[in-house]
Amino acid sequence: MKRFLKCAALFLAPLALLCGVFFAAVWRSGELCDYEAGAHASAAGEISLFGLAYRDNTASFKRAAANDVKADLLVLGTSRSMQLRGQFFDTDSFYNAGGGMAFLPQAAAFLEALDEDARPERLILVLDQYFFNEQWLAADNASSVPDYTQFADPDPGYLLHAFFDAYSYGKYRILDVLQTPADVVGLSASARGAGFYPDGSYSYGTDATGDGLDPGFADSINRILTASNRFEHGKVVAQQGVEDLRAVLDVCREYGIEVTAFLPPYAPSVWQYMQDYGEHTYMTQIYDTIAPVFEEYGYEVFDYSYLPETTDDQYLDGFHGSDRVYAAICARLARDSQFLSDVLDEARLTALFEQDGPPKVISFGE
Amino acid sequence: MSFTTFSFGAFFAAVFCVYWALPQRLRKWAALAASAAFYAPFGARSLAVLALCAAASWGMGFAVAARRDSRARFAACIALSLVPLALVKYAPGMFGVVGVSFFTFKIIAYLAQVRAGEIEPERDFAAYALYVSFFPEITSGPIQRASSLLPQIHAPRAFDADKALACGQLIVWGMFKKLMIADNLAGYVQKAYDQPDLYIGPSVLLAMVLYSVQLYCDFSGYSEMAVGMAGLLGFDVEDNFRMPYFARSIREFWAKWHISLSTFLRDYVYFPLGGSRCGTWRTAFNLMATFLVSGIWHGTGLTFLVWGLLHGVYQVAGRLTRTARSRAWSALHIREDGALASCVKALVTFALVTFAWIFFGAPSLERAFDVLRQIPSGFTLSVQTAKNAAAMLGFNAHTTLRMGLAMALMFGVEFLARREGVAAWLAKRPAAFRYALCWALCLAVLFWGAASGGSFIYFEF
Repeated sequence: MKRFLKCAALFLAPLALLCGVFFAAVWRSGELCDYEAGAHASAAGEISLFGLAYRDNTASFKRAAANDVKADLLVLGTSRSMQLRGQFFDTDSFYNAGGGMAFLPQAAAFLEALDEDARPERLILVLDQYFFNEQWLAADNASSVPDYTQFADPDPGYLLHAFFDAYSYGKYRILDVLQTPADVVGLSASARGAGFYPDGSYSYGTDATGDGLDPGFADSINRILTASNRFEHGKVVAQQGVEDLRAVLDVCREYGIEVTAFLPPYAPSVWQYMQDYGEHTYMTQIYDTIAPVFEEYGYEVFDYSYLPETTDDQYLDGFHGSDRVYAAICARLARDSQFLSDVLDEARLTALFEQDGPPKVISFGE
Repeated sequence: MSFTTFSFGAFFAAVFCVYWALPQRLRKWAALAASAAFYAPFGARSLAVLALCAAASWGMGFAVAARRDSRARFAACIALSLVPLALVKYAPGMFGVVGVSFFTFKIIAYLAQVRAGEIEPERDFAAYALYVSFFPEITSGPIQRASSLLPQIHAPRAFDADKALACGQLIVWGMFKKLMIADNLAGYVQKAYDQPDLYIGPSVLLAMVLYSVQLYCDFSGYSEMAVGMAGLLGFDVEDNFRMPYFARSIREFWAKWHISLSTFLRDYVYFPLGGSRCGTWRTAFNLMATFLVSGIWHGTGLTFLVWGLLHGVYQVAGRLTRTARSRAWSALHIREDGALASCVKALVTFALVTFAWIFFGAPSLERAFDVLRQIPSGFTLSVQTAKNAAAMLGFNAHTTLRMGLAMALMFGVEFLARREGVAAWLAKRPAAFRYALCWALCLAVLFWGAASGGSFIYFEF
């Protein structure tokens, strides 16, 4: 037995040491943090960048933070709303709750889950085009509503393994992670500079300075061809989507929230590819279908699916614009929107959009 | 608890320490307690069913032994033993009982061996209960025979360091196959099975081949861990796989794949039906019936039935064409037992097995046929097509290299060890080689293994 134990110990010791070093990195990166506490600290500005790599409770995070911030101007949408920065708006009472929903019914649920005094006066609602796609809406969880009070507990075993995997892809360096600043939480934030700012908007970190998330939009094209993952085919606007929209607008009307909505942009070449491919014709019908609905409620909606002033290299992937694209969107909103014209300066936003520098990055001069 | 979790590792380490710290006469109780503790998290109802089956079958052993000549009594006991399995598989609303397929067959094998006089009914209920519920084997086999395991329970061996080290190496090998190969491949394969119409034919074909590898690594990896863990507790368990994808015929495949099940079916279904000692057509019927049982044992869906029947057809066709094939090799002036013929036979066998796995892995017959229909789509023989096929499944240069290396290592070692088994082959290598290989396997699992280890495929049977 002694010989076996000695051999086993000799064999396992280096592996244990290796695991120990990586576990120290896991701990130092903040991946084991209390998620809810992180949401409150982020909203209070105590965390400059919150980006966990291996847990995703964005909906609960945004609700907790939005409840703390109690912003007059709130942004709500999927990941395609997260680049609307507080610095674009001339107001301090702003929070980007983007990522707090994945399906349109969840927008209403999010607003209802906010405390009464945390509900905004004005809402920027970002309407992903596939909210009006029949196949997308047929997904099993299309009508599900997350539990906004639920925060995932960390699984140390899974985290350790995931850390090893990420290291093997060269996603981080151990020494860098071990030196993570105290106000940066999570491996994504530490290793890539990716995560949520205190205003709720999102930084893509090194992905924004490199080739983006989908070089050449190969993945987006594959999704178009395989009718999958937000690029499902559709010839006409799904009526269910319009009903879901009405339900959201009903909630906004009930709470006295003024709504400005827009359809977010695709990368120009991806948009053109879809038009040429001919299986996504529903997208060009959405605005004409929903504009009357918004008019009925006294709200406003704009179609920014294709922004000719933007270029492909300003997009992270086929359907996520960078900060620069969202500066362009805000410049358009400054011009088009009646409700937001007092908090948006078209000239300043246009200057931000046209600023010299990397195509996906804007400097706010801080 | 899955074998590949940290919590199971901690559990097994504790069991190992307690087991070997106890005096020999108490080790049986330690193993039984560990088996109960392992099984308990699957639910009180499952545990109750397991306990009831163990108790009832223990009693049935005496009943069978008292009248060994009574076929009716034996048949009644077998029928009673099959009730839990039938209910779990076929009764609507019935709760699942983990491992029911495996411990039911262990019980049947025990009763059959008692009836045949190979063993006497076990008087010690604790020993019998341990035989039925032995935790390394209960969830997914091997289906170890009572004549093999019960004597070891009664006469546990002293600790053997060399054997324990060999078992540890086998566990590492099994974990590598499961976590590095099977779980990683699952992510690529599943896409093509879920929506085959969205992929070109070569992608679907690649997914089929990779599914064969995934299934083998998942199941044999589990079996090797089970054998290794049992060995660490001083129990010898027979190998359940012997490089089946190098088999040169379907018959040889079944002598090397899930050996404990195939020998069970051979001894308790095929032979009682008459085996091959009857005429040609009766033998054919016996083969078809045996593989039909195999299909049904695996699952209730039509896909498993088709899978089982396909293998039956393969076996029958193999027997009927044996002479013709020998003549064909002669006519081609190729030695039938030579390297070239062996290669061709192995490839053909692999193709036949892979074809049948389509039905095994598909959720429905319709989906299986969708997969088959998609194969000719966009099929061209070119390097670019092959690259596109891999890319559509999600492979990039990194993942192709990793998975390629892992599979090459796995098949390479198993080819070298094809005659004696990986454990015995490793035991003959220099210590430095064994340590280096095991470290490399552990590092591969740590860095490249699937981050979220999937459940074992055979766990669902």
